[in-house]
Amino acid sequence: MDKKIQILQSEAIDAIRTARTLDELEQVEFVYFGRKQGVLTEILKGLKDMDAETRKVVGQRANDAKAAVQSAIIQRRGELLDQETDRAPFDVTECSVSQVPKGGVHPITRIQEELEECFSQMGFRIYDGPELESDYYNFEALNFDPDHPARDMQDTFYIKNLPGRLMRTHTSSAQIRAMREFGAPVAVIVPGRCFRNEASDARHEHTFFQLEGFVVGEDISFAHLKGILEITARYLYGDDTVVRMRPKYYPFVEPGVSGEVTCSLCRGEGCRLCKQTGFLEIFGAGRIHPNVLTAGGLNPQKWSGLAFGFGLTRLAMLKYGIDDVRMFESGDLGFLKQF
Amino acid sequence: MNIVKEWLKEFVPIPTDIADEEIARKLSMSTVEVEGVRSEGGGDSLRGIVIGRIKEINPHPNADRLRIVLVDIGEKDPCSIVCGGSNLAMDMRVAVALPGASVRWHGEGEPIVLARTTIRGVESSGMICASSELGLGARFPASTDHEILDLSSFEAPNGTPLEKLFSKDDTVFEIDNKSLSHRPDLWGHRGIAREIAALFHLPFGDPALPKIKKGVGAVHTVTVENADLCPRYMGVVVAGVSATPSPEWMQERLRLAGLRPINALVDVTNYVMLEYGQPMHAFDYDVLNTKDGVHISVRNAKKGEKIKALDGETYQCNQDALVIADEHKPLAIAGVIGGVESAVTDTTHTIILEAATFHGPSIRRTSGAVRIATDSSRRFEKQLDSELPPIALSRAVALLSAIFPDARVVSAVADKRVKPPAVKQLIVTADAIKRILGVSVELSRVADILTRLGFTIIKSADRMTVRIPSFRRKDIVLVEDVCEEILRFVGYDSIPSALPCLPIRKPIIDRQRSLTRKIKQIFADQYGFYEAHRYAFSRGETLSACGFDSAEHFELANPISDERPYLCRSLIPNLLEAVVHNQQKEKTIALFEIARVFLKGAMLHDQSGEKMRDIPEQPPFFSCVYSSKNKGNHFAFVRDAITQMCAGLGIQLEIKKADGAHALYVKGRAVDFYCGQTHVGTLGIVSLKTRLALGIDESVVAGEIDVTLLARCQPTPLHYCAPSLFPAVLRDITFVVDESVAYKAIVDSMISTHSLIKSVEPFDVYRSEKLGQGKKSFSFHVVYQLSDRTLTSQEVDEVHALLSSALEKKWNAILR
Repeated sequence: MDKKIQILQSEAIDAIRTARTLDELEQVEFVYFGRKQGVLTEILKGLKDMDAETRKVVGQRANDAKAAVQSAIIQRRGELLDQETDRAPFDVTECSVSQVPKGGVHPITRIQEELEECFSQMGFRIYDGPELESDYYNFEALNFDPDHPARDMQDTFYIKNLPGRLMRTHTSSAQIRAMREFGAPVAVIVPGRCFRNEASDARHEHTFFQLEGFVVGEDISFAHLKGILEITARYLYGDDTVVRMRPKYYPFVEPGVSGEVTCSLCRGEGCRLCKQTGFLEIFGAGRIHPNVLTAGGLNPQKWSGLAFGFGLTRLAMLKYGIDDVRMFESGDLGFLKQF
Repeated sequence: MNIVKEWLKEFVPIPTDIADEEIARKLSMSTVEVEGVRSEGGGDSLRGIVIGRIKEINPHPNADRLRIVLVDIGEKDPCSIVCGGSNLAMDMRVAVALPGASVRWHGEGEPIVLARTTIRGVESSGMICASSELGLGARFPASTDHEILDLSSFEAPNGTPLEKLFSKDDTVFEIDNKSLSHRPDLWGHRGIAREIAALFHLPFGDPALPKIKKGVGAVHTVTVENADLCPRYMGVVVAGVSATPSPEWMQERLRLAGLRPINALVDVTNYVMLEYGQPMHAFDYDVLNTKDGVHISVRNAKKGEKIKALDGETYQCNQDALVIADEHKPLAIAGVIGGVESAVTDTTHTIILEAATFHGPSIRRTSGAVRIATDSSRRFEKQLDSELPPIALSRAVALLSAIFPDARVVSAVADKRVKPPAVKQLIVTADAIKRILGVSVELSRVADILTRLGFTIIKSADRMTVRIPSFRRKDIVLVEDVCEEILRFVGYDSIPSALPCLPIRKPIIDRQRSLTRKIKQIFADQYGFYEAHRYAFSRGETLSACGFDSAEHFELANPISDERPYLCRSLIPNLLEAVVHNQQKEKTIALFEIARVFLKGAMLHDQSGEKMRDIPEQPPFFSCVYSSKNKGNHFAFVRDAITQMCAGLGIQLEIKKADGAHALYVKGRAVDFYCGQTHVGTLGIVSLKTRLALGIDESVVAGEIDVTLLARCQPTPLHYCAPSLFPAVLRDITFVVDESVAYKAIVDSMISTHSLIKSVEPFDVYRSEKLGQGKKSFSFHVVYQLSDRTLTSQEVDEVHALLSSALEKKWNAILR
């Protein structure tokens, strides 16, 4: 009996493996497992007529054989089904007819959120001040002389019937507010919209976005400014980015610098974008002027600080190769759909 | 500002082995922004080029744009040249390059040697050159590409080699004026020379200037009435001069520096200004002389006083403006522009030379008020050093004496001056430098740098006293300013990088910011809207098209060309403009924006209590517009997008049909959003009137929400319910009701019919004539489920029947 089962099992498995179609496989299955005359079904049915000792041995064998044959059937069936599917045509590039609408955020939002994440990780708070500001926060408290050129009518939008109020010309206007709100020590960034009264063309726009950052602590030196600018530049343009600084005058910092970084396009080789200099001017920065700390309610004998700012609009133009700044505020879907 | 290299050499010996580019680079890295370096031809590079006069201009037989020009170059026969110059004219003096001379074609590339040639079939024995082709572009800037160099103002005879007229080559550094706005000392060659000397460790020296010897013959007195605005005023009378052309070398330098030579008297004052940064003025003494001499007063303008200026315009000054006047009338707007009456003319032979120091901000205000900025006002407004006028006056007198053999000083030197400010000094310690720069710099090195820059140092072991020279009094006030000087010279690259150490602090949750960020993500990624940025300013026409009253908006005092003068109090009008912009190209326009709006009303008070610091409320608004050529209930789509977005943020918005107060929307087709009792926003279908006025083709849904109010809403906390382990049973139901029956009312009543009804899900809304007028058909999947056991189909049937009869009774529904 034992031998018989063994032969049956190997015959069955051979038959299964050689079945070429699902129909043939079904025939084979019928031969062995058919409810009435299935060969294995018969044997299993016959078990109940055996003595206990034989039943135990033969039963074990028969059930093993049944399991093996069935598993061979399942495997073969899978193979045959796959072969059948293979023969049906299938285009992996075919369109889906049910459309899921696609949307997107503005390129400025993308770049702003990226930088917010970078600075949050460094422990900076994110802050925003009003866009319609008083002269005090935008100029006076930032150490602008009453006759500083930037206060001229041609640079600043003023508000009719609301003297001393203006559209902020830089995000630095939030410095004093943030210092008063948070005290020191503190690290803050202020991303936001700014306004300058100039006619727009492909490279000039009266509305643009900046990101201002500042740190106030007990011993903040120029070296700290350099450290933060390097981290930011490398976050934006990669670890091999070099930061270069030059003197530049801003009333609210001293010393003040303009920061340049390795050109993102040519990596310092010199190209059209960087006007063959290998560097792109990105930052304005410096050590916070003591008068500004005083205006922010902080004692400059005790506290010192650093501040930096850059144009998010300019960063986005460089990053995405946008050559007309007016696209940002255009609401043009041909532009927006690319982000 | 143009800086001429040869001119710098009056103050600093620049050795030939320092390249011009190196000078420009160092200046840019340490002092001012050099925008360009141009080498100007002269001397040998002009060999073979002569001055000539055009005798004849004839058309070219084979080319429309070319001419055949006969030029007298001082030889027996004129020279015949084919030329395409746009400004050719009879008797014009021109530069002729003869065969063998080197020129740069169109001012570009390497010089090429000229040969006799034939151009379109006509022989040309030379070339009439443009300034850039000779390397004279800085002296003679051309206004168009095809303009040839016009030398008509030169008197040299025909055939004179140009190398005699322009004996030396030179270099011009173009400096960005903005980069020296805080450094009045750098507005002349002397200041830049001092920086170069310090940067390259070269000796710096002022050429010796003879003291002006008092003369006799003329009377000139000065009264300064407002010494606050004029700390110093000097003048002296010089006779024996005339308004003849200045010497060629002086004209040459003025041209290179970007000024047009006028006559020797004006040129001398300009020359001194470009050299020392001190503007000067020359008055005609004889014109002003009454019987007893000239009595100048420096005073505020009187009410209604007018002055005809050198530019031909007549100006009326405010009373806070300063004027230079004699007993009768104003002669000049102080520091800004001279008057035409007292100006030097061809008949002038005695002049009053003036050099003064004015209050910078006052000059700036006056220049702004009369709307003229001159080379003079640009310098004065930076607040000049009051030690400069005597130097400038001496230099001017010396120059005049060199030009005019008969020139002589015929008056005393008037010098009205308030007490000069005390010399400022600062204590600089090694510790302070370390603290500010983050790196130690040896005091001896600091002393060396500062001394080279003209500071005086008194040193002790660990500190030094730094005396600030008068010409840096304006910009060096604090130790930080001194540190910048150190930084400029030790180099920014030598500073190490470090990171500040700040303590960990309690988080401040900015709900508004996090909401803003999430709204952007959800609206873009989930509902397919694009985030737009639009201006904060609106057009008047757009506002009125939207039914907004422009009087309720803040207005810019100085908008750009009056195009968008109004500050938005809703983002919708500008977004609707974007709909117009996109409608030709896009099938679906789905835009949103989050930006501040500016509300006219109560002001937000500043905590300082200063009223001038109060500002209007300007909350960020979320706004969206949706318009599509696709079929569907667009209003429902946007409404659900907003409510589901808010629900996702834990904020349950309630919708109430708007009462019709929104002029922007079609009456009855708008809703208000409420969070609890707070009205947070609206949404509606834009009225046809607005669409027609703006030119929008398709129906548009537009809405807005005040994000600050949303951020104040208490979010509903989430509670978990274990999912039922038993299967749900679905039954469909379709029925017809009157249009007047609201969908939400139907759904609410279906759910409340029986506790077995877990939810109802709509799958069709249908309207047709077959249903009859004013009817609509709804189809729902009704979900039946219990949490503790499996439902039997009999139970479900019973409740489903109950639901049907309830609908019939309550809503007169007709089941289909």
